[in-house]
Amino acid sequence: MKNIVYNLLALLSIISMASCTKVIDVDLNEGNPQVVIEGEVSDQPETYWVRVSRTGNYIGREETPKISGATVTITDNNQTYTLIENPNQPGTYETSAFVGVPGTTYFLKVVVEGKEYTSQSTMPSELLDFELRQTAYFAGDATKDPGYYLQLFTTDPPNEDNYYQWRFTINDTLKNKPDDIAVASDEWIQEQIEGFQAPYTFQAEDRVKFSMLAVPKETYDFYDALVTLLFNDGGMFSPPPANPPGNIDGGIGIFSAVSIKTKEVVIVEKN
Amino acid sequence: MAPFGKTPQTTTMNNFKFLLLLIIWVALAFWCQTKAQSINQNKKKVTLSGYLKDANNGEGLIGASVFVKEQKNGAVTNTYGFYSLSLPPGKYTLSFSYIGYVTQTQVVDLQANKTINLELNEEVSQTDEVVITAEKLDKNVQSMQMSVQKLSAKQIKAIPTFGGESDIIKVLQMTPGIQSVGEGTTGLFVRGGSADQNLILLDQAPVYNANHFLGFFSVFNSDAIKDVEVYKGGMPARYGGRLASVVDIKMNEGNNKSFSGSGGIGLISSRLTLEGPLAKDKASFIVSGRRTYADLFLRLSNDDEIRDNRLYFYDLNAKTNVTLGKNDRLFLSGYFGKDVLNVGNNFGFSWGNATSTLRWNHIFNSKLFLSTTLLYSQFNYGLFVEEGVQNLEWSSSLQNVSGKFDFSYFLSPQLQIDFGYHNIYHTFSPGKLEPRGENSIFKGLEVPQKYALEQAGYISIDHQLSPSFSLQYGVRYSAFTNMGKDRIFTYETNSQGRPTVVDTTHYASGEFYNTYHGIEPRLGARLLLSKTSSLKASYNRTRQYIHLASNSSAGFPSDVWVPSDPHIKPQIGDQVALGYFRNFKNNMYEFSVEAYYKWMENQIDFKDNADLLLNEAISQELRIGTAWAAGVEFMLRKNKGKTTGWISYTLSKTERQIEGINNGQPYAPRHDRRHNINLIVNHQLTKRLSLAANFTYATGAAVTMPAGRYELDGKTVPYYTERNGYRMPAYHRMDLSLTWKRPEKRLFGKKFQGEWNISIYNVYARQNPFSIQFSESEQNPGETQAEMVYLFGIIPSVSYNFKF
Repeated sequence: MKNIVYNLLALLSIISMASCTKVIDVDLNEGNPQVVIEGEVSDQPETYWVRVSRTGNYIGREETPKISGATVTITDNNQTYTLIENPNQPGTYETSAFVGVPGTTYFLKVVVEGKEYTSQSTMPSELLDFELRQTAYFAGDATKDPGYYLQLFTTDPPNEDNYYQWRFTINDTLKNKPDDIAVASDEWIQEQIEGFQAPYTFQAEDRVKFSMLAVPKETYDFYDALVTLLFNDGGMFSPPPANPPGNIDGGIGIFSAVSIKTKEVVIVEKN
Repeated sequence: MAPFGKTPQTTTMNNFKFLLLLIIWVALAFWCQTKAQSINQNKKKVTLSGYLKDANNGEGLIGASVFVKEQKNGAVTNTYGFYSLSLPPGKYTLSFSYIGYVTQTQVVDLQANKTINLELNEEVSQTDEVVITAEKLDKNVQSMQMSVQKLSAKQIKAIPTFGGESDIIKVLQMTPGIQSVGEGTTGLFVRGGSADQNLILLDQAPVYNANHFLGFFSVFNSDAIKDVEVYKGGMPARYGGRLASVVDIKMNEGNNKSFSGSGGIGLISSRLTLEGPLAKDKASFIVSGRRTYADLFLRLSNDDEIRDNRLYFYDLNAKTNVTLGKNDRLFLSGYFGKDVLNVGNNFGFSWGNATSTLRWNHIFNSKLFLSTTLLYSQFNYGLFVEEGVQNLEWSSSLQNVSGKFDFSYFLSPQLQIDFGYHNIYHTFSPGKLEPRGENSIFKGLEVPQKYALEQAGYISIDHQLSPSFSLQYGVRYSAFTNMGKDRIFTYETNSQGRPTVVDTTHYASGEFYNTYHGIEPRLGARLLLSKTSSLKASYNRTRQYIHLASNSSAGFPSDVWVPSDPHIKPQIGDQVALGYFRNFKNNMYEFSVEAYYKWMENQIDFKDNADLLLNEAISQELRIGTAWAAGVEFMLRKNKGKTTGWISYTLSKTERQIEGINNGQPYAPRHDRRHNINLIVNHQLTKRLSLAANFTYATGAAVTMPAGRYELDGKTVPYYTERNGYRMPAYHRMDLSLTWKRPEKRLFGKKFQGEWNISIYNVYARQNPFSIQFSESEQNPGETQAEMVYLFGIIPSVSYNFKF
């Protein structure tokens, strides 16, 4: 929610200046390559994955190197599961040997060329159920396009700190641009959420898959900082750019244990 | 590690040493004084005092001189136009002079204390020469003060402008030692200091956010301003509270002779000022207003969406002064300004300042002058969002009420003592969030208000030890006390390295619970090498108890001021400066070179990904360290003749070293500039036509660039290893303006003079970098690139100004 304010401020600074851009050459120092790890475990029976890669040079179109042949394990209270590298996706390690349980702490260990990278994440309590409702046709105003909107009805458990993430897949396409990152903290939020509107405009017959996640604080902090960074224009109105605070010991990235619930709706014509 | 040979050892510079030094100075001073007195013991002295004013509008003349021919000595008027001189009884030839005004000479037989109030007439120039300064001609060389920059409204208006809006702050950024952080911003970075280290005073009332339109304009309407003085170093003891500078802006007092007005119509805003006597020679008023009108055009639109948008600011300045008999004068002045931005009915943001000043000047006797000031200052901002159940209202403010007593005691022409007491009661309301409508998803939330009392006492002595050697020595003692009602958290670092609150201490309303205090020695020396050259040196320490929590270099109106508290120590700065001053060609040219070195403790920066909004635990987002700055400033200025202006060059360097930022290694703040050149020229082509030009060059801003990138969540993410390790391309720009004075007309029995001004901003269309953005190319997805954002091409503007 804090991003609302930052985004509005950024908008304000753009309104107040008509700017132009041009691509320039910069001579960047290359940092030592770092290992980047990203992984997710949930409370749904699905394939869990961990991606391992390395940082690369900033300028250019070369893909950053994927790391094959790493040893990747996830440990819960009593067992260690070894993840297997997907032969079609080098650097992606998978398992479907277990289903995550809310409240459990998961330990990740990745060994790359003899060096160990570790992380841990505690899955929050099970996400409360929610309802997704479609609005009637909206004709549009100063800040919103005409079309249909989806509204969320849910309860945020009071007296505890909760963090959420949302993911939208519209007509089989996962919304995955920087401005699709949606995380929220309930710090400023009251208990009953009745009609929180998603930032997408839909047309009749759109197929929408919506996942809501209860995420640990570290995951929220990471994505919150990632949004700020991806929208940092490097100008004097932006904070100094900074790496998002990950939870990988020895490397970069984030490992999250999350509780997910997914709903699918098809938008219908409604006036 | 430190760039200037050694790391400054600041923390242990003990006060004791300064105190000892001060006692020696004072002892020396009084010894000299008694010696001087013993010579004249048998001669009783009498005092001559009074006010010097402008005959045209009755405003006090600041820095005008009174010269006693027989004694080859004299005095200079203070901020209110008051002077005082002690002389042995006798017959004297006095000349009262002020640059640009006709000098008056009087022969007086001075047997008892005497008051001479005079009004000087402005010189009616027979040629088309202009005199642009409002200073004693040789002040550059003669005065005690160094590291000061003074500009009159006349000078400010003579400089080409952006969009036809002349702006004090923009002109200050063209003087040596003062940097801006980027195109079109009004933040001042003085001698390596940050933007919150400047005390900006409008008629003595602090202005906490001097920006309009996010910094494109300052809140100071130049029609309402008399002059501005910036102290970059050698800070007189009567000023304190900020580390880097004092920007002392004085409003016009109003014409007490006749009713008059002035105004202007520009592309961005229009201005109107009215002034006149309330009682002739006794009381006067001035009211000045300015408003932008971009949104008035929006209202003409057929489109509802556009019509409902708002984007404007306005300023209102008013001042009145009353002369109550010959020993008392009252001033009341005020400022009110606001910015409003609304996007339809969905979003609104507004902010504004208000200040007011009530001052009473009283002359006890011809030697003792007292100025008592009561001040109020306020800044607030608010925003609202109205998007279905996402609706909220947000507000934040800060207020202070302040009282000041400033005495001047004119002991003899060789000795003047200034002393006084200041206090400020601060109220901070960091932020309050409220649901705006029914069903809002937001809950009510408020960061508790903070209260504090800031106090200072000072004494400052101007002492002429010999005709060529003068000292100014003084001390300021300041104290800052946090007051209840408040609660202070105790933090401990948890296993993940995050601070967590482990205890809370509550304080009752009005309870004093934490005090910082300390001595601020101030020293200055001037040695006249000849009639036209001098050497000056100064040392000063300053302490700052309130800090701006701004995580961006230009700042937003939503940045909050944070008081020192048990977790946030006051900032302390020390500066030494040395200067050589020389005037040429009968004071036609002024030259100065000054070198300074500053070292600062408890400097604040913010940790990576700092969270500054509605955060009661804001102290945990700060990182504290040291900073140092050094530089050399060259200035050559021409104040008389057809061509006036200045050229300046500054060589400087500033660095910070803060644990937790840039891996604990020293780094340059964004505003660090190695080289800075400014050129300002104003040429009178004919009696009616003048041409002005300015050119500025500055080393590029220090910025952070990525050392690599990685893929995460399907996005390309830049990776950083250090802070501000790169430089943007250099900034340079030239502006031109042409002013055409129309012949004077008579309108409704009044003289009316119009003036057209055409300005061209960025004449050679330099693409100056505003920022460098690192992102994926939109044309070639998958390809990452560096993109430079620049703001302006050539911007022409035209404005019409008038006075009657």
